[in-house]
Amino acid sequence: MAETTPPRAAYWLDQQLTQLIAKLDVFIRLRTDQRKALLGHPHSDNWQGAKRRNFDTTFKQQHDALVALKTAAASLQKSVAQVLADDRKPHH
Amino acid sequence: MVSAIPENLIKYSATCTAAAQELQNWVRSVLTPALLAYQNTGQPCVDLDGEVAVAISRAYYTDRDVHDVARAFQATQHGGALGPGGLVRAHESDVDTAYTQLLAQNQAKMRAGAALAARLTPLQDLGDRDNPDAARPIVEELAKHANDPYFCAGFFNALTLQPLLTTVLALGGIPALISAYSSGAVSPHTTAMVAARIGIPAVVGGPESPTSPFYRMTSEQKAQLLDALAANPSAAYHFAKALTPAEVREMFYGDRQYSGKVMAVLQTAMNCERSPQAARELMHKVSLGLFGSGAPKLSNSDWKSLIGPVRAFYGTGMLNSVPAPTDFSRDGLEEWEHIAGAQNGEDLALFLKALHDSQPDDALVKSMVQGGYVNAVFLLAGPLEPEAWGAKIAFSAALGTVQSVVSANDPIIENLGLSAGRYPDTDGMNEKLALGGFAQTLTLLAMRNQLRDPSNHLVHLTGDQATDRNTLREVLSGDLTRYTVGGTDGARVSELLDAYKSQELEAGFKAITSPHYSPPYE
Repeated sequence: MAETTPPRAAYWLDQQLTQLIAKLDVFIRLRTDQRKALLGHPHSDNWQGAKRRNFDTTFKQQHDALVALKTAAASLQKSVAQVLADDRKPHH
Repeated sequence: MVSAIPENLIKYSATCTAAAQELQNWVRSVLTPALLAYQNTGQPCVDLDGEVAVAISRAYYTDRDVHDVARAFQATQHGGALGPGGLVRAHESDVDTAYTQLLAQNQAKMRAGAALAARLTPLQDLGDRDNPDAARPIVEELAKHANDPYFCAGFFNALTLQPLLTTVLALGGIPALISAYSSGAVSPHTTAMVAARIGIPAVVGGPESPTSPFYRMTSEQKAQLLDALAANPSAAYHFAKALTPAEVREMFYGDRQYSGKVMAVLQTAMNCERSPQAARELMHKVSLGLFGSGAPKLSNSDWKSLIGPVRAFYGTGMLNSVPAPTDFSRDGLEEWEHIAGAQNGEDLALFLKALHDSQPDDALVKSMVQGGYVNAVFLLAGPLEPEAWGAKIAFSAALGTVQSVVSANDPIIENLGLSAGRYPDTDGMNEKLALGGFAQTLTLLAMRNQLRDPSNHLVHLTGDQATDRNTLREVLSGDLTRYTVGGTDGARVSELLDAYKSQELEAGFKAITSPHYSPPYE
């Protein structure tokens, strides 16, 4: 296998970070939509009680954590873009 | 009193845990290597994949527990009748008690399974002929728990080495493994070992052979394992969810005589997919495994035996992967057909490319693939249907329509059987076949009361396959410029067909004409 050169690895990671952000987005939306469609609002007959309240609290925390990971991925992507930009500059 | 609709909770749990597992596999097989490659070039170390894995894992366990809550609600009814819509009302304390009991039972069962497996570990270094029967009583004990998925999952998760897994399967542990998978609690490590086991060629001999180690599986046992997985939708579903593209490749190409059976397992899994996104992800995983970068090439003779099961898989996948429309304005519908066409084309691209590459000089194959034969994959997708009521109607209607519009002849198989030139009117046939994926989008519209005939009457689907097939056939063979969708100022069906087909064909065409094509999901 050919050695992975810095720009190639950066380019590849950049693409995967785009994928990651999209995949996290799909996952977050899937959970939100499914929760709304199948479990209903917090006081719905679909599921009530203490376990539902615990679930909602945990769900919210996890939702926030997943959204934060999207931000972290975007931030890493910026550094990777910088590496790629530096590489494109003429070397002296 | 508190209430729940257990069926809804179970559906929520199944959909979300499956998505989590899928995402976790991607992190493991794609993101982590990409980060490592980047760090190896001297860039600072980043643990983003670890953080993502932890977050997904937390979501997975939260959503998995929802299934147990559903079972706890069910347990409070002691098998009694449920309320309207499956509603259960119970005292909260009763639900808590049932829940605690369930969790304790599951964990205890998994621990008991692991304890039994631990008795095998000391045997791993023994030569077979020295002690060929040592493992037998342990596997016999396991067989007694074959109806207990958690016990079996605990057992198989505790096996850490391939020879131990093989020994158990060779001595009669296959039903227990299938049972373990139906629990959804089998570890990724165990799945990696099972996939490797399926990929390793079977050997002649087996448990009773004096010349073979007792831990070798026979060909019959391997076939039995794959058939049993394919016959158990829940097990096949969880098994496929846990696979990586590399493991799909290992299973499919490792032992070619079983490639068809591997596809049957994957098709059963595809049939259980509950969302268009999940169906697409499974198609992508299989496409990358079978036809992605670095995959072995299938020859024309390989295709002869594999075209049926491979097409059946993609046919089911395509029918499951069209999302329902949400915007019924003219622009909204055109956009929806554009996306459905582009996605279907993209999902099939690697498959088409591989088929095309197997016989690049054959003018008819080339013409079929380039001209829109993509929907020939629908022909064999018959016996399996999605579970959801709405999806089932749409699926049957679209499938029936395609089967009736297209003749009983099977152009691709006929062609591989050396009947090139038999269908001179390939343009006409292409036109009909390209209607397959589009028929599915039309059924989704008709089910939402959005499709109108030339007299401006709504086109209804009934759920009866023969009736619906005729209805759709009438639409598709009629003047599509006079059928409309989405109200008086809505789009003409002919315009929607153009929107769908142009995108689908473009994606397929791109794949077979670019030597180094790689799909966006690679």
